[in-house]
Amino acid sequence: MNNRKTKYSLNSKVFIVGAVLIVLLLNAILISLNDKISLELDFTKDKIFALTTESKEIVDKINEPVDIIILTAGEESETISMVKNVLDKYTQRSKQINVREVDVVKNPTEIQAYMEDIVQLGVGSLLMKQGDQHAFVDANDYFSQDGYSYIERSVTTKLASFLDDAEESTIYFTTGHGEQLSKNYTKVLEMVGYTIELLDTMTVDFPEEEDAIVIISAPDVDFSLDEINKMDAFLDRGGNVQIYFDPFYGSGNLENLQAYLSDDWGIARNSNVVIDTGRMIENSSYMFGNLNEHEITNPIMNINKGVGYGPANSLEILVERPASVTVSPLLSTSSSSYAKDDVSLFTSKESIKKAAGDQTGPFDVLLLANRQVNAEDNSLKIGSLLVSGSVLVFDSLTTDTRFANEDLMLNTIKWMEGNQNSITIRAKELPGGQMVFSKTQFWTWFVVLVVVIPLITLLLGIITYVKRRYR
Amino acid sequence: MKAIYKRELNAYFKTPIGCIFLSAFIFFSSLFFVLINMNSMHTSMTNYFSNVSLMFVFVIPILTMRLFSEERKNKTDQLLLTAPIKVTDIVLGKFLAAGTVLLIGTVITTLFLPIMNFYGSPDIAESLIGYLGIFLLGLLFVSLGMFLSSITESQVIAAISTLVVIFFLWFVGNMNLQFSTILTGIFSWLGAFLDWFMNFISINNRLYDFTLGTLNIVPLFYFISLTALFVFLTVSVIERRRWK
Repeated sequence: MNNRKTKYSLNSKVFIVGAVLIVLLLNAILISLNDKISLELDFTKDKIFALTTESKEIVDKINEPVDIIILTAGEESETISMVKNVLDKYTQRSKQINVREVDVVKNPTEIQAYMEDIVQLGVGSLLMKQGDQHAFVDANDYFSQDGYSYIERSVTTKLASFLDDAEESTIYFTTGHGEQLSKNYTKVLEMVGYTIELLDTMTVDFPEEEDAIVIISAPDVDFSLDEINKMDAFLDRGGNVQIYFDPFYGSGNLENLQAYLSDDWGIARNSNVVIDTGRMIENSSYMFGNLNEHEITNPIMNINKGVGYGPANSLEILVERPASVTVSPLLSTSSSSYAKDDVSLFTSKESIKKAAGDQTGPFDVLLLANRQVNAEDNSLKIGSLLVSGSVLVFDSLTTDTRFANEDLMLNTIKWMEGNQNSITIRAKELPGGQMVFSKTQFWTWFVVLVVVIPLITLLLGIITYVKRRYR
Repeated sequence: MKAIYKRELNAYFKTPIGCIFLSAFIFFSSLFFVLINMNSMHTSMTNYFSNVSLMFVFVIPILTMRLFSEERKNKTDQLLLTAPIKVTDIVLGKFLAAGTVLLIGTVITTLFLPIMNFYGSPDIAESLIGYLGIFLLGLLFVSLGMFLSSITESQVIAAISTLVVIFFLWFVGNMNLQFSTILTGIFSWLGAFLDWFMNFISINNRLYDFTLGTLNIVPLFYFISLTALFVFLTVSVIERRRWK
């Protein structure tokens, strides 16, 4: 009997140790497998933890090791966990990408050389290194205020800048004409890897690069004939220009610029302000426009979001225009829209109401024109000109994730560049959204959930217990 | 097993324990929901689920403390052990009964989804994955509590030891200890192993994927395998007692 007991006891111990080891081993195998391949199903609305095709293409091109250091400071936060989860997908995709954490407080030696920059960044920011190159992704730019994640876009953009064929792309903004430089527009461009440079066209020439993009944002003072000639020559070389008008700026004093547009490109800017009350977004001066079919706009039509615009001048495609110029409308207003000649009426709900004498829509508010020119070396050069009647198309609305304006802006840039060097990874919607209820409803639910239901459950238990005890 | 399961489930609701557990479960869950989601008017349940995991530290011991220690104290375990029934069935019956009470509590708290749906548009799939994570975590704690209940005859000791162990597992993930930076030189391998082990036993790290709305095989297997391990350990303890 004793023998059997000893044997059983020994067997039992062996089984217990064996079971513990098997569980540990299987978990360890799965954890290490998860470092190499994704064992995850993403149930989030916008698949925030899965890489987009664009990111995968960039990651696949990386052929030298990239170190991504997550800069932590003490406790793990929700942001860091989220970033780690996204970065896992990069390491699973490429063996060249290594991710690790460095606590900047406990272990600052390793990152000492970058400390000057690091102190400016938020906790959970990334230091990305490849050879002598390095880049930062600031944790303060991970999320938008309205609940969108820019993590994947920021990381992929920095990775793309490490690629051998990565070119430094510059977008020029003209100055000297009272231009309204759009901070949102430039912020998005910088986020996707562009360098912004100011161009004083009165003193310097337009860029030499054939595919360069020059943006004229809501000018208030006219361009001189010399500047117009420089711009024309730039467009003849195959350059790209984007002009954003604004009903409140430069009205009536941009004669040279407007004459150039109508004579050389067949595009007229009307002195009015377009109103489309039926498509106006409540409590704002933004309106939804109608996208017209084009290589630039077609991908956006599949996104379940509209393109918005603010107060705008209507634009007109003139019948009489040079034969070498083709003009396509990209964004138009609805047929219920109308335009007022007096721009100052765009102030209140009452003053924008339709009145007798108002022009009736639809109107074009965003046009794209191309002009073919035979260069001296007999090559064909195509200059592109984008004209917008509203600066808000790409200003405030660019970073407003309710709209697809950012997609329109990036697609336009990409198209003008000839589809190269630009990554368009959409910001991804974070889990959750807003609830709307009154204070009374809040307190009603508080009482029902926190007091009534637990109390009823407890009373049921007490009643059952008392009944049984005194039965 | 069915008979044991029914007997245990009945016991939960014929004594105040089941209702005390459910009442505490609903009270704390609702409090977190109101303070986190309704107060911020936001439908993301990530923070809610993280806080529910802390609540388990205090409510799961109520559910598991009596599972085996009560039987031992009342000497009714002798009846069970001598009955013509497998130990595995006894353990599974008790485990499933406690799991059912936990499930009832979890299902009641899914009432939050229609409330959020009425006032906003929550992502139901994401939230349900979070609920799955919370339920699996609860089951792991139930199996752990059951195991600890099987090795003592005092319900108080069973409850306190469960609370301490669960709290340690919950806390270790928040400490962010980095042994590899403390233990260097010839002990660097020990530091690396301790880091791995601490990360391994940290339940918060495992739960986090679920709360974000992702279903990852690693934490899924972690919860299921550890739950099975504690059930197996309980079976071994009871089996040993039967042999003695």
